[in-house]
Amino acid sequence: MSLRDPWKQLGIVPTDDGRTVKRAYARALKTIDVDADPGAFIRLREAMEAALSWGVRTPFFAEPEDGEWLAHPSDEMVAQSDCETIVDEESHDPLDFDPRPARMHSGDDRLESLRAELEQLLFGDLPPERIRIEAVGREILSHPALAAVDCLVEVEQWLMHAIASAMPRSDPLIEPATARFAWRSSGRDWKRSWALQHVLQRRRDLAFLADCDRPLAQHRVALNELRSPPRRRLSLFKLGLAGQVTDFLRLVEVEHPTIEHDFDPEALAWWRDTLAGPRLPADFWPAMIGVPIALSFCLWLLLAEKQGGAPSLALVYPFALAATFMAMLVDARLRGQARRRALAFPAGSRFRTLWPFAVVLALPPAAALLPDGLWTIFLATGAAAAGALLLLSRLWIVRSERSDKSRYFLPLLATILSVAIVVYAPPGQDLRMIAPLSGMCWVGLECGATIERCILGARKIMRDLAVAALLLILGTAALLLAHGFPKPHMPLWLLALAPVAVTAGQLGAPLFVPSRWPQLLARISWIALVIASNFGFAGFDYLYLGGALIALACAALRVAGALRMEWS
Amino acid sequence: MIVGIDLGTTNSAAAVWQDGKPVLIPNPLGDFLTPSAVAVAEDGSLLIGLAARERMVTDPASAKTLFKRTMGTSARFALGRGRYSSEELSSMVLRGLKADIEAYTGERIDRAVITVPAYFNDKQRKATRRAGELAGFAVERLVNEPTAAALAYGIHELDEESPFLVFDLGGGTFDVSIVEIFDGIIEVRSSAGNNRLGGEDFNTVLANLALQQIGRRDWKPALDPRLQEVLRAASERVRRQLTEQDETMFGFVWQDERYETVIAAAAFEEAAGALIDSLREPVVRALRDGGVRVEELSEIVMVGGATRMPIVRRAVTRMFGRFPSTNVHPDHAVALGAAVQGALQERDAALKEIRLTDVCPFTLGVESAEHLPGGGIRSGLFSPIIERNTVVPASRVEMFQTMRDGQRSVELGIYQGESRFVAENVKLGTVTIPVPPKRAGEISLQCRFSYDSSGLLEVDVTVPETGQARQLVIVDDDEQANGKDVARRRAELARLKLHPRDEAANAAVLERAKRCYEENIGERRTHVAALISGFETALDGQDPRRVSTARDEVVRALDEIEGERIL
Repeated sequence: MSLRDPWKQLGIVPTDDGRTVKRAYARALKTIDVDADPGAFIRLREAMEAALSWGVRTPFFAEPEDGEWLAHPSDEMVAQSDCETIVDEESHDPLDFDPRPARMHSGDDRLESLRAELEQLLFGDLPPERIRIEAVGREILSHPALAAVDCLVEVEQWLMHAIASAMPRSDPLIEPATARFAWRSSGRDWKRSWALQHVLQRRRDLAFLADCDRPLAQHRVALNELRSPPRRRLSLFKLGLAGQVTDFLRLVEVEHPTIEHDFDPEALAWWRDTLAGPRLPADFWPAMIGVPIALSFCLWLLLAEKQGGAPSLALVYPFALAATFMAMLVDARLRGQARRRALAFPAGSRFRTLWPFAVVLALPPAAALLPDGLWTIFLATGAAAAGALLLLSRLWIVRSERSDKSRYFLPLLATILSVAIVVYAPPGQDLRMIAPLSGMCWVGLECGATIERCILGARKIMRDLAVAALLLILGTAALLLAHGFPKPHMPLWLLALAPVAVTAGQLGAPLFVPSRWPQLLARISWIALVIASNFGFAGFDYLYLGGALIALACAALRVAGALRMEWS
Repeated sequence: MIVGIDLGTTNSAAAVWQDGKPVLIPNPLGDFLTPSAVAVAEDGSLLIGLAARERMVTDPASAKTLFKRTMGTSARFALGRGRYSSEELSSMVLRGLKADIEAYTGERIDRAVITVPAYFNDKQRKATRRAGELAGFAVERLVNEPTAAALAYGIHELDEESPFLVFDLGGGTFDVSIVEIFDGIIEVRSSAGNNRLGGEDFNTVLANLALQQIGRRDWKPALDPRLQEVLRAASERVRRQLTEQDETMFGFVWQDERYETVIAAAAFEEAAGALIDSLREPVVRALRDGGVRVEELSEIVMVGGATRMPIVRRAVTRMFGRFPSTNVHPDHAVALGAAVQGALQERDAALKEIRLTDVCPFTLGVESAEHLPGGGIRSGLFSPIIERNTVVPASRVEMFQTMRDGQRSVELGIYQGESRFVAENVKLGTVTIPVPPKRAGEISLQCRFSYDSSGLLEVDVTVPETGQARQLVIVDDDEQANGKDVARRRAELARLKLHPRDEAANAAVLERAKRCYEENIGERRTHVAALISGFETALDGQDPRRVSTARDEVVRALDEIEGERIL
């Protein structure tokens, strides 16, 4: 809108009389040639509209016109703001609005009484009666007075607001009203009001809810949990439930906001509170079983090599168990702290699977702790610093989820550290094998998101190149595997296969539509990877080979899935 | 002189501004309406109008109607030996009209205002403009049909202060406009419509109803063009008869067998219920966008042949709680309004104090994306820039930001439509502009849309950071309508000669008689055959007086057989 004074442009003194404004506009319009000078017309038109909206339609000069019932200006602005490019989705809480839509008079007594009855049913204190609500609603919808456009629009607006404000009581009205007013086609209109948006959202959400209610449905457990009265505490054996509820709540928030009306309010509040506080990770039990075993086994092997004799497993295992538990507690505290500061927590599953890799990365310091010369002290300091940084960075990553610098920084650090280890460690050291491995794992996992967005955002040709690169990596790996297999001693480079598999899997993941398969494959591949990395350097060639093969197969499956999606 | 042309789905008409008022141009048959039909006669000449429409039934391969419904698409139709697109077929009709106007005024005519349904999209408008150019017109302006009708109504009602509604249900399109007049300004406040709804849809309903009643639901007219035409002709006739009668006979001959069934108006009304219901949504939207209540409307102006149907009139009466206006002729108003617009364009002295402002009836915008709270990105959203029912010419600016870190270029898809998702809207083009790689959201783009009064959209994108700018004038992607191409196609079409004007009346009667022959069996058919051969003998004699008497006789006989000729 031009900043010039609209009154000056129209050549009149400020007034609240629309007629004067229009007369001035008409006079000015006749002096310009619209086709020759469209700019002059646009300026004049803007001046006229500004004069009308500042002078005539604002309460400063006069009461708002009661003719505004057809289009709520505020509604349009709300609908419009949804379409802004960058603005995050705003939630339009219907409760901010007066829940009872304004009364209107259609002049028909029967319609008025039906309307009053429906309002009583929807907003009254009586227990909800679905059948009665539906019957009254249908009678209103089939009332002959609705043949007149005026009455139809009035009833449509009223019903729309009533349904939107009285969820979930108004559910039985949604289908008949949608069919009667053809809301589905007009509902796609970007200019639709918040009430219509809400009603159509509710319609989709009801379908989703019905889907969730089927036996064996993915979110059924979480849904039942939120619909039943709240728990008092979450036992150690129900930690998985927290993950399910978190996922479900996130889905509901983003995609199906109206489902919150169906939850038990107390249960919802309890879960929100619980999920916000510190809690143990959802895969606490698998981690408590798997990680100490792997850790103690590695320690046992390393100690045997350094000290010339095997220590008692009974000594090592409790140590590993305690270390894992402590680490998990620290993790829970850090995450709880991050959540308490109301920081958005990034997509969860990737962070949960980071655990085993953190353990893998912790192996070098464990090995270096043993007195073995100057190099190992250097390595120990570096690696311990890296470990501390990693733990700290968990908090950092959470905090700066939107800025991606940490994502570049961490893999870079891990890679530099790995290179340093490879260069400086004395030959023959097992570290030499672990370091690049863990480095690659970190690159694969941490860069995953970045690579993912690069690939998805890239042009078609770049995506094709990424796919080609994946195929190349997998092909090379397969070739290496086929060549390396018959040799009596596992060549060093064969160990590179496992990280290659992880990286390939990570690269392939973004091309894959989210479903349960990639998650499952990712889990299998990390188990295989841990086995491969822990047993490989200890001389268990076939265990390594098996682990690497499985990890590679998982990666291949994910890539294949991605390709199918890409080319179908 | 700028002429006004109403290029309709079923019928077209032309008018000129003469002595301070618009005047309709008669065609060689003396009618003001010329059916929008094209046929190629045996000698290779072009038949336009009624003769071509009659041919649709006898020989659908050599004739084509209803091509306005596929305007702006790349569909081509076989006609005689050639294959023609909708715009080329339309240009043939326009050529016929041009010949009529030149014969009437005795002047060479090369400037025209052509009407289009308000809800025609950008592609359809461009195709209409090209059709005009192919016919040898300089198209001065494309005017929305309801706007033209409002002009024709409005220049007589300049003192009217309250807004009125134009309800334009034509053969293939439906438009609603809210128009307000003040101080000589005729201002369209809002338009809404459906460019796939019209009288032809009622014909389809009627044909299906008839097939159901005679127990032939297994026939699929959509798969058989000839059957479709036979049914369409019968439906058209029945639909018109139902305007005056409560029930009428639906009769047609198919494969030498006569089928008959009685259609009751009530049964038709019930079958057409869904169509009647779909008239309501555009009305509601136009009222809502115009910010007008039904009781504020001073008049309901009905335009378009299909509004003569009693069921439509009844539905309108129910919708608005009053009877619609009968002041304007539903078939003539649009052409008359187009002539008024032509005179406005020429700054005719009689219209010095009158201005018309129209709106852009659809929303124009770009594709955009948004961040989801969970961290993902949802793309394919539609961000409006020029909202529907903005007064044109208009110019609007919106700012957009980059979505990703290190983004090097921004591709803006330009769309037209009302859906929140671009996939359901019409794509008009794309603009790509390079941006310096920065963090997401740090780079802004300025996107300006300018829409002129003829409906041409111009898009300017600038990056304030670098000062780089890109401009895009939306021209069709698939057809480079450069001057040379138009000239070449015009030359190609010019090679097709129009059927001589002075023989048009004879050709029309002959074609009608041939159709009548096909539509009847038994004794009547023999009778028609005798009429045809008698008339052909008269034609061979080349004595104008004898020909005209024979023609009148044939017409009288045909009127007796099948009722009056319909347009």
